[in-house]
Amino acid sequence: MRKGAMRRRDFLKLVATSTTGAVLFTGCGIGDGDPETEFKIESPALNPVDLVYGRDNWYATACQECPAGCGLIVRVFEGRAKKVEGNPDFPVNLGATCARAQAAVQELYHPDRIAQPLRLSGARGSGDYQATSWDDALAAFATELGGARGATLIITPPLAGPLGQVVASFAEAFDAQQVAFEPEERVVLREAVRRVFGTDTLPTIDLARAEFLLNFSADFLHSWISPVQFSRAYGEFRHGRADLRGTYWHVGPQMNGSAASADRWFPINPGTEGLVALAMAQVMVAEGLVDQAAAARAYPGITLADYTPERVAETAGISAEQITELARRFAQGTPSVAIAGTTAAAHTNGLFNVAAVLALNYLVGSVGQPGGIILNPSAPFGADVPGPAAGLAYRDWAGVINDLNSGRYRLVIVHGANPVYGLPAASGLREALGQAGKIVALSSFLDDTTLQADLILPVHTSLESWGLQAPDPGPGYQAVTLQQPVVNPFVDSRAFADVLIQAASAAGGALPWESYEAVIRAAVEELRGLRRGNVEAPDAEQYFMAVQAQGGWWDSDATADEAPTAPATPTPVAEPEYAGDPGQFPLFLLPYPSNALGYGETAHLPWLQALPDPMTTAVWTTWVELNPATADRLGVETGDVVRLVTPRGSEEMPVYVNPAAHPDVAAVPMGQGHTDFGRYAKGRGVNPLNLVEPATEAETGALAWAGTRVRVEATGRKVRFPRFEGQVPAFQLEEAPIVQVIPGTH
Amino acid sequence: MRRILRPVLFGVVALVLLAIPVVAILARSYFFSPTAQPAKTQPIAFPHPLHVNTLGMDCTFCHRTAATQASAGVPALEQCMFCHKVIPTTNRPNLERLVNAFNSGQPIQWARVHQMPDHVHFVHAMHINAGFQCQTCHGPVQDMTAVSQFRDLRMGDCIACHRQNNARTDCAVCHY
Amino acid sequence: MTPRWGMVIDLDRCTGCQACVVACQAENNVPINTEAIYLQHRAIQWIRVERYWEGEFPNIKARYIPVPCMHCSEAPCEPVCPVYATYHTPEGINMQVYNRCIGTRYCSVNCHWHVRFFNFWEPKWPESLHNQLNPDVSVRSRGVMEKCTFCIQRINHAEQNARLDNNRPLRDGEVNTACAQACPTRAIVFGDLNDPESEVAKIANTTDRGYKVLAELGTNPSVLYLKKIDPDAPAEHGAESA
Repeated sequence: MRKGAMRRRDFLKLVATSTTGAVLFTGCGIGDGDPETEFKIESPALNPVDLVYGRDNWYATACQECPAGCGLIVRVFEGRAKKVEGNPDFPVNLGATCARAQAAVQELYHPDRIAQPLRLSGARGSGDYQATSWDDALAAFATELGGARGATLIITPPLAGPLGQVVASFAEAFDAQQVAFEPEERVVLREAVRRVFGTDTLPTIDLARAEFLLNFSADFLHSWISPVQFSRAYGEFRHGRADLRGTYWHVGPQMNGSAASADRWFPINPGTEGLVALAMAQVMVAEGLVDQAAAARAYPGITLADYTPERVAETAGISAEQITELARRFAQGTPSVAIAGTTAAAHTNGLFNVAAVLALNYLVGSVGQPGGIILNPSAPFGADVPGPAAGLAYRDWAGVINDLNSGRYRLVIVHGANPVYGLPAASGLREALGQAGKIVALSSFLDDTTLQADLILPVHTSLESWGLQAPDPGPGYQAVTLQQPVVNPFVDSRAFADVLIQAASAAGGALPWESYEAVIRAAVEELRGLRRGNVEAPDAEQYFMAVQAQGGWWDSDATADEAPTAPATPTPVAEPEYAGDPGQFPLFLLPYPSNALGYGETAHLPWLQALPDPMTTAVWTTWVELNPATADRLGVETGDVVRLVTPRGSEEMPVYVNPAAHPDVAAVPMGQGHTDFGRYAKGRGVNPLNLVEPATEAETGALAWAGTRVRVEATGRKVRFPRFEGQVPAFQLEEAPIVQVIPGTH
Repeated sequence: MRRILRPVLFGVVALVLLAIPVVAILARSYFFSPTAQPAKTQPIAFPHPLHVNTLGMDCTFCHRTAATQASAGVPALEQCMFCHKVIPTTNRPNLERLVNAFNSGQPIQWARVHQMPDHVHFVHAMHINAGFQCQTCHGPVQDMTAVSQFRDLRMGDCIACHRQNNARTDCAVCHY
Repeated sequence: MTPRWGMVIDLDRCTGCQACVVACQAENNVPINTEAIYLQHRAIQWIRVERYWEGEFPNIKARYIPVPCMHCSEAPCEPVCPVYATYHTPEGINMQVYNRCIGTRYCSVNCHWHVRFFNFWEPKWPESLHNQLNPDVSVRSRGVMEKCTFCIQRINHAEQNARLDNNRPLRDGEVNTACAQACPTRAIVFGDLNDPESEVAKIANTTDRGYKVLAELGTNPSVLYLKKIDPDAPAEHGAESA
């Protein structure tokens, strides 16, 4: 009884509390949100004509997430950028976008954007910064600049067009050395294009009119030079013609995202693309499928007869019959086109690989012809505006790093490039930067390179900036995207070029422009002077507005000059070399650019981190792809942590057992492993370049990042492997029986 | 008998007590939200009768986008100043507040009078273009010195009117 | 005539690039799928790209299939909702009324395509990313189902504009979903199946490659897939020219 009374009293007390609670709840108006803001309507003092409350505006601009230069339209709602879409008029992408362009808004509103100028307050690399004002920061920058004439190093991505002009002029004013950083195999690609087609601009592929595409390793649909342009054409290639479906065969060491779409895939050993191409040429000549003289012109200095399929087969890891089949099919195409890139270029013989494949197009007469390789004309800018240029080859970076170590540079300026991440750890760049007098980073994010800086000046992201750029590769004729700010700066940032102009002026080396916008306007005015193209207007102001509205300038009649009939410069045969003894390191290490994160430049964006990899569906991590047989031999399965050991070092990561992986290849995506890059990227995954032996491509000196051997060791540990696969049960595709669905944890 | 009755009685009392807060919340959300709000004090006592009745201004002169957009729009102070830059402000505190706000570039924060329930996308333009007067929903604003909510504006109100006028009544017209 | 919104997805054009996935997330305020959410198997993707393996190395193929909501005419998810939160619009869209939903998840259990997603957590974005959220789309709170709406905010907006413009009919191409708009290979085509002149209806009416996923359930999905052509498979289509 006593017990029961206690219980009852407690119970009543409880009920009383909860009733009071509920009444209080109601009284406080829970559920109404914050009355302070929700129940207010604001009358601003002034209202721009294009700002209507509750209505969106669309502004044309250009994408800067990768160097392809697609045209965009951006939905702006009450002063905020909401959604990125492709500019339907712009000839490079015709309204389409890739996943990365969509994420540009997340860059703009990223929670870890640098919001004001920062001055280092701790040790270099510690990440301890103190906010400072723009006036102080610019004054500090100008002081450093003035005191470092002839001892300044500027690191940027390759800059063409008006921005290149400003930076070049800045470098000249302060006698600075300007170096460009880009993924190293692009350096090789540019040199190959120069040798084979004689142009500085990259060519485009007229897939929409091609019948047969033979691709050597290039991930042209997802990450290679201009994926949206090629994807648009690919759609037409497959089903744009009523009576013809284009056929696509893929040759390469990895079934990458593009190879997955191929009708057939021919797995080969990494780095043997060029040899296979030569053997194909040999077959075509021997069987009389192509003109012998043309073959001799396409491969000057090479005795094709030496490269029979039988001889090449073993090195390439492909049968002689398959090479013959490839050659016959290629010769039959009406027309055929051959391309090579991505990992094909990232070997010690990368230049030979790419050049030998591109030269195949001469054999079947596909250069400069409909359905073949279409060369691009140079940009329609004045002579003082720099054209497309390659980044610095790794061999030359070594020189820069030496100079840094010797203390030659009192000032290093970094913008838009992250070489500390993008060059292998073995390069020693991070340590060498420690020897620089001062490092000034003009950056929106605290990335691996910016983290070394003494002074950080926040710059606009792409949606806040001006810009004028000739897409490279262009659409086959002259085209220029105009990038305009679609929103006001979200944080206290400034345009990169404007900071250079202001600092130069403060340091007593004034550049001939007032602002970057003025540079752009002058360049557009020069376009008007050409009196051709898509835009007509009676005066300069209206012309500029028309170009702004259309998102660019293009002239479909301004095509390249007549295409050459043979390569301008011969490229000697080179067999691939791999760092590491095959006995100790039995597998080939194959890093590859990721679909969403590229070479790591978009790793800070959560949408892209969360985007499943097309082949493995993995997210938010780094993994190594192993063939089921290889994994069996090691006794590992998906989610098991393995140690990858190369002559250069070792890293641990989980395994993804990929049934399409080459048994001799351990493929690792690039993009993760940042020491800092905002909350979404910091400390996540592994940078495979840490494992790469810094061997270089023989001719260009570019880093051969795919030329290292590796040993995979089980660690006995297991992690939960984040991936999309297994989130929902699989269902059967029509008339495509599923032979194997990787068992996920349903 | 009593041994069984007592726990049962406890249970009933407990259930009733527990139900009180639930009923209270439901009743509150039904009777008090979001309609029937008292007229609110505004930062500037804007006299609608003067502007509409005396000066003969149309609603859309200030609420410019009512006929074309989802939102009717509250004008920027700039627009008030078209006329008010030539109207003397001396001893008129409301006008002084307006001019001061405009000169200092400070926005005016009006108290929202018409509050739709949550999760509704309402489009002014569709209703105006279907031939409705602003007054149908907002009441005789031209006669209100302080604007207050005129209609219920809850879903039952919307649906009744939509039915009368053969407008669509499927959920996705307003809720998405 | 009332439109019936539908979609054609050409699997022979799809390259699995996932542009549609991000475009959808950007348009529809889909919460960020963090690593923890993936590990809980609670990722929300209104449109997803599934990848299937076929065969064994070296004769292996990967196949992609983008899966949005099928918007079935006889949708199995609709009759099981106890509060009528999931229903069919007159224009053929399977809608979720968020403010009605009480989170029983019966609909998701009854959906064979697994395109309905439950908000197990309150969606959270860092403060600055709120600036990106689409004001035309409700942010769904915890305890509510959500799913592909065929971008109904765009459809409503276009229909309103057409009515304001002298009550003219909608033109083909005036409405496009975010996924179809982004698609680089034009694998996704969206439009009105009731308009015989629309691109989507033309493809649907003329193709010999069309099929519907789980058609045997008789739900009559509004999404038509076009088969991938495999020249190596026993040929059914004469498109291979080699």
